[in-house]
Amino acid sequence: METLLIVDDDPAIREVFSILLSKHGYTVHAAPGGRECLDCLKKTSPDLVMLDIMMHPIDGWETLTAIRKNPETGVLPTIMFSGKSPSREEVLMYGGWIEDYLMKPLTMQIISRSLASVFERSRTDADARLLYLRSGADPALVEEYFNLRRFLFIRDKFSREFCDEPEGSGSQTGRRRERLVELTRMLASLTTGGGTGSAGPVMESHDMAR
Amino acid sequence: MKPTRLLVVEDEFITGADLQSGLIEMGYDVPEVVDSGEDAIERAGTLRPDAILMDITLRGKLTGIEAAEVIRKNYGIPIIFLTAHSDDPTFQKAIRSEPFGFIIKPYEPHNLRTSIEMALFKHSMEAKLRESERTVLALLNATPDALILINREKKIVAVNDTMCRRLGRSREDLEGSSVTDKIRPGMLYPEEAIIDTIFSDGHSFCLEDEQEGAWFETTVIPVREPDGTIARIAIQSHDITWRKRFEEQLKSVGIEQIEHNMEQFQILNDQIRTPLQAIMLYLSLTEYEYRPKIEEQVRIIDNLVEQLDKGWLESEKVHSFLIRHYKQAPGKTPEKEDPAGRDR
Repeated sequence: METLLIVDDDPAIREVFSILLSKHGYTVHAAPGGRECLDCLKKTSPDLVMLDIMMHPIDGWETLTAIRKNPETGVLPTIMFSGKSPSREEVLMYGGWIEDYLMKPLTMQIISRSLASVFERSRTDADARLLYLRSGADPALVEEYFNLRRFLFIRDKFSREFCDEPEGSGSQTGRRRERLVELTRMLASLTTGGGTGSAGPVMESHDMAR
Repeated sequence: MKPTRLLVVEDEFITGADLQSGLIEMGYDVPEVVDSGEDAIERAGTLRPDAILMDITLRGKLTGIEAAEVIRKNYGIPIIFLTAHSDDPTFQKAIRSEPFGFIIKPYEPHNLRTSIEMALFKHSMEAKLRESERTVLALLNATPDALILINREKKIVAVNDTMCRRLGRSREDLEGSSVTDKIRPGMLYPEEAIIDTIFSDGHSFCLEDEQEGAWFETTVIPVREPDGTIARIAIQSHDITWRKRFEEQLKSVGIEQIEHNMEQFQILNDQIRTPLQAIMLYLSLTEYEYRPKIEEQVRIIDNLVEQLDKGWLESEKVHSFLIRHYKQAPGKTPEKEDPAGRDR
């Protein structure tokens, strides 16, 4: 079963998450802050990080940025969890870097459902990534493609923050959707050797995640 | 009624005496005849006549024209020139000094009286006009707004003291000059196109403009002639710097307050939900009989926090609206790069 790293400055949360997730069969490490999380990642290699956002002195977003900047952990699946909903800015800025955003208080059911779907998705994503790279796709474009998919997943989950955003290419979301369609076509044509219009296996896994 | 007092300035004794007796006969008060410009100036001050009949050519250093100039400036007494020849070059010069009248020698009693009465009438009308000009000017200068009146040729017809002060130029320098030579379009004077439009369509216009930290609200008003045509335009500039600064301050204080509130909301929500989270999960570890009741209470608290969260979202919308409209740089700009988009 997978190894998880729980990062939260609240000792009760670390304790109860550790107990419950261990019960569910996960191996759990816990870190009380961003710095400790980054230290822990140097020593161990968990399959997923669950990051609290409001922490001092390094908050969850800064920790996430450091994780993504490090090539070792560049694609390490990460779930954010917080007592507050993400702002529009945060979704636009970090949505592409995270697998999920969960709002406290969470039931064990929500947590395990999210974990299961994230692991499922990251497995199919890993397969797809390998396939694209083998087909000679530009690694930067492949990562951009996955970023856009993750962004749209988070964006649609928190659509309340975007209710006044215009439709279509007049908005950040619209432009990103268009870009995703473009990249999907391009990657599909690479893997099928001739642009059949099919989005390939990745689109299905995206739908499943939702 | 007191008879009209006249002073005669004539260097030919006989002509002077003749004129004096003739005028007295007509009912004027003519107490004296002097024969030099210097004496004329001195007697104008002491006798204060209603008018002076002045020979153009005089004994002494001053000519009649020069003496008339001093008297006009010092005492404002109307002068009627006396001359023997209308083709005399001195006479031509006298015409240019805009006198109140001329009497060509030899005098004819009827013409003499008409000339004197015309000069007195003209003088009283001019005095009234000057008085009304002073009234208008006093009104114009009583306002703290800068005022300027221009004509169709874009020449400055009139300005008030405030405008002179703001431009750092004298009234003499401004009046009669081309407006664009003296005022840079933009602040106290609008763009040429606006002026042209107002001359053609006759609608007044108002604009706000800022330059070097000063704000002006400028109103451009067409001035109609009695026949309805627009020959002139009045421009009034009201200093609104103080008001603008106050507004700016209010806006930035408002934004700061909202930023502060938002931060408080976020912290509060997170702080309440974290122990709620711990309670929920600890509870799930037990088989306590009241567990569903405790979970229900946790949900109630969570719903309350949800309300706060919505409030935070609302205030974030207000905040981004304010930032978009009133402030260039938001207080907290996320400096990290955008991972998902190439389009930012």
